[in-house]
Amino acid sequence: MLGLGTLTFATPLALGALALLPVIWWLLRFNPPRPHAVRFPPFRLLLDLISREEQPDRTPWWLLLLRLTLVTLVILAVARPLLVHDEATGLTSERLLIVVDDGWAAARQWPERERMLNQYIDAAARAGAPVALAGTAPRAQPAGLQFQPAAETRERAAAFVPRALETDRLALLDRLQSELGGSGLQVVWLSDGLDSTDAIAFAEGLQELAGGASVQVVQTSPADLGLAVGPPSLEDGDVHVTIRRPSTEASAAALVRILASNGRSLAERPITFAAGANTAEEAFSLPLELRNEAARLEIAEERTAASVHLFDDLWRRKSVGLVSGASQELDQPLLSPLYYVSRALEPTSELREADDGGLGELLEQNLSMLVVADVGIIAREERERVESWVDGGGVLVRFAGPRLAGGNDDLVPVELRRGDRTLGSALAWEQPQPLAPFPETSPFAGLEIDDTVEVRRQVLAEPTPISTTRCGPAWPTAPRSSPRNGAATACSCWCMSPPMPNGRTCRCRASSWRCSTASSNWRRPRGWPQAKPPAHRPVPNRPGCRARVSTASAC
Amino acid sequence: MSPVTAPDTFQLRQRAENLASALPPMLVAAERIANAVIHGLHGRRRSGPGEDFWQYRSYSFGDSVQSIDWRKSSRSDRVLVRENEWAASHTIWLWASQAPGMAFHSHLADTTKRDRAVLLALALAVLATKAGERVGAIGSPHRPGHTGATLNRMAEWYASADGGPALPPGTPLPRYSAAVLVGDFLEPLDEITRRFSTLAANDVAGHVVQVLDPAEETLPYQGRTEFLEFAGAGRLMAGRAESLRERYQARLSEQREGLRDLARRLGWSFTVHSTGRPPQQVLLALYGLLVARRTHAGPQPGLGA
Repeated sequence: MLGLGTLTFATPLALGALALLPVIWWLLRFNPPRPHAVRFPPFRLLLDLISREEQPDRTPWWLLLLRLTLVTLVILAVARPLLVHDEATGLTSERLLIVVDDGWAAARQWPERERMLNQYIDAAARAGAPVALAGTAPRAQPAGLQFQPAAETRERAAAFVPRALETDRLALLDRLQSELGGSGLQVVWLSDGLDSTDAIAFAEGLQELAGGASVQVVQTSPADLGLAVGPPSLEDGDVHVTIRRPSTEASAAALVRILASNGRSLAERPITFAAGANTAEEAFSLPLELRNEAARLEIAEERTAASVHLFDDLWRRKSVGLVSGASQELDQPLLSPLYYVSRALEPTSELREADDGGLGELLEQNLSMLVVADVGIIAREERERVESWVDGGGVLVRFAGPRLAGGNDDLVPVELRRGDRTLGSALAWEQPQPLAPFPETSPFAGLEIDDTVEVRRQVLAEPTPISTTRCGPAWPTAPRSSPRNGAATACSCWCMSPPMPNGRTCRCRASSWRCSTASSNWRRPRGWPQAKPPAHRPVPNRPGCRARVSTASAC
Repeated sequence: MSPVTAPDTFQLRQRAENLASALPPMLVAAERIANAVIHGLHGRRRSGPGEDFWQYRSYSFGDSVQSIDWRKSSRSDRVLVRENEWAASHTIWLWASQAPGMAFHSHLADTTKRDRAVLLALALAVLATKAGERVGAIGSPHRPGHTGATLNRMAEWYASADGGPALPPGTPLPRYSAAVLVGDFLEPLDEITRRFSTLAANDVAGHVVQVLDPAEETLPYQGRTEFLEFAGAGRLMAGRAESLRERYQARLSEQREGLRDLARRLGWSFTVHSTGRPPQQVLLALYGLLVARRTHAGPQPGLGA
């Protein structure tokens, strides 16, 4: 294949016939053109004028030129010119490896990328080169790298889609090196234009694969790279949105909008990058109700996964009901059991305290969580409502206190020993203990423990010899199916207590309140001890033992 | 004689009538009128059948009693006979060349030479018959006449005749008649001289009209051109036709001068007409030549290019 810019010839040998043009020119020049015949009455008069010996006439130059042009065009047509407007030129019939960045950044100009990919495959088909395709996005089960004829590769190329993942080029490079390893490859890299610190190493690796030959890299121009939106933050009730651009050549402004889950636009605002800056920030001030509805933050007309942020529950203010049994302590608010609870929950949730209507009225307000602080025994009718509310998926958190220690109902995960255990008193046998660090798997992981915190009093669970089990130092996973589905399929124990010092573990006990069957669905969470937890054992279906998920447990 | 039915004949006559309609009847000027009994408008300056008064003379034996002018005779002692001037008609012989070469028409003209020649002849015939002159076609089997039927026959004959001699036949025409010869006259001058001399032998006044195509006058061809003889198989290759042009035009004017000379010698007129131009021009010129007053005695000056 001979290439002249975008013009290529499928059979360039035919161009050799152009060498015959001078000969044709010479022949045409001395071959007089066909005369123009005229029947002419004054023939006799002409007879006297023209001598019989006629001289050969020259072909007019324009006719000669026209004929030579025709011959030239015929020769060019035989050489089958192909006018290909693409960059995929210069391919030989060697094996062609096309590496496509199909991570999130490629999504923005994916049609263009697909077109380029098809151009390379077409060019390979013209050159008769077998083609292998590889994507840099990580895959659970990478497809094999085999070289196939270009026509078959076309179908595979059509199945390529950008993934909302970060590219892992070096992993692909390892695979390529181990599977291909050889030499004499033609390598084309359709890059997404982002250097995730591995581009140079990857390019060098590709060049090794190409056996030192050059690697064709098709790169998105910096101006065409997509924008990304960073995780928004909430400050002073405003949603602060940061958007980033990969280069200062990229677009200087973007329209950022916040959408509700039904696609309704809640806020929309253009954000402009300052000259030379790669990040821009803007605060969206939304009323609480709208902010609770926000489901999606996106940059308009961007198609990459990086241009979207999904708001999770973190962004919703939950309504939390607070109940304490200490109404008489109102005159000493700092001693109220709810004091610290409300201080802790206030920034993120809407707190509703039980007023005269009591618990029942509180539960009617669609609570997300109910915090019961130091209430020993919940009244019978209220308990039933709380039970049914918990069955419906509500989270009941009980904080212990003197009242709870004094006597409890059965809305606790374990049976508690009456009376609290006091450490460090004259009669106690242990010193007050500081808190041990939270293990990695705990929901409290990462919390810094204040050294001044000491555990002086404890509410202990009643040790039950039958079904005592170690509730591991970990946070067991939540049941796989949502309790709201009505049937819990696993039983698990949430150990809410802080880990005990000295490596001691808390114990929790399966009692009539907590467990259910469906052991087959139970999976041992990571970090759990090898011993089978009792929940795994089938518990006989006793009447009244409903499938439940325990919500909180004190150990 | 079959009546005129062929559409092209009718059309031919119609066109001739149209062409002639712009001109008054053409009474041909004739110095001498043939001694014919056919009634016409040419006074013979002698007594005879006619409408205009010529003379009174004494009755002599043998005169018809009806011819006596009784009113005139009553004024004198003699019996006078009224005689009118003998008015006779003149005969115009028309000849339009039917030679194959006359069928030529180039891209510069929209009609063939033959068409134009026949049209001219017929238009003259129409004009002449309006004035009571007799017209006849040289070479046709029909006798000359001065009626519409004559015109029809003439048109029919011209329309049907295909191919013919390039020159009028060398037979003498009747005495004192006029002849209008329309053709391209590209034959050798010697031959033309011989024919014309025979025609002019009986004191025939002739008018020669040379009809040529514009291409024949200018030779507008260029480049390598092969000229073919129109009727024969002769062919002539010109490498560059444009180089011939000047010599050809000189040769053509030489032929034309020869014709004009010949006409002058015979006392005839010579007119040149190109088919690229409208026929009215040449018809008007011919009309003027034919009706020229007697005062211009002697040979008519030839018109021509």
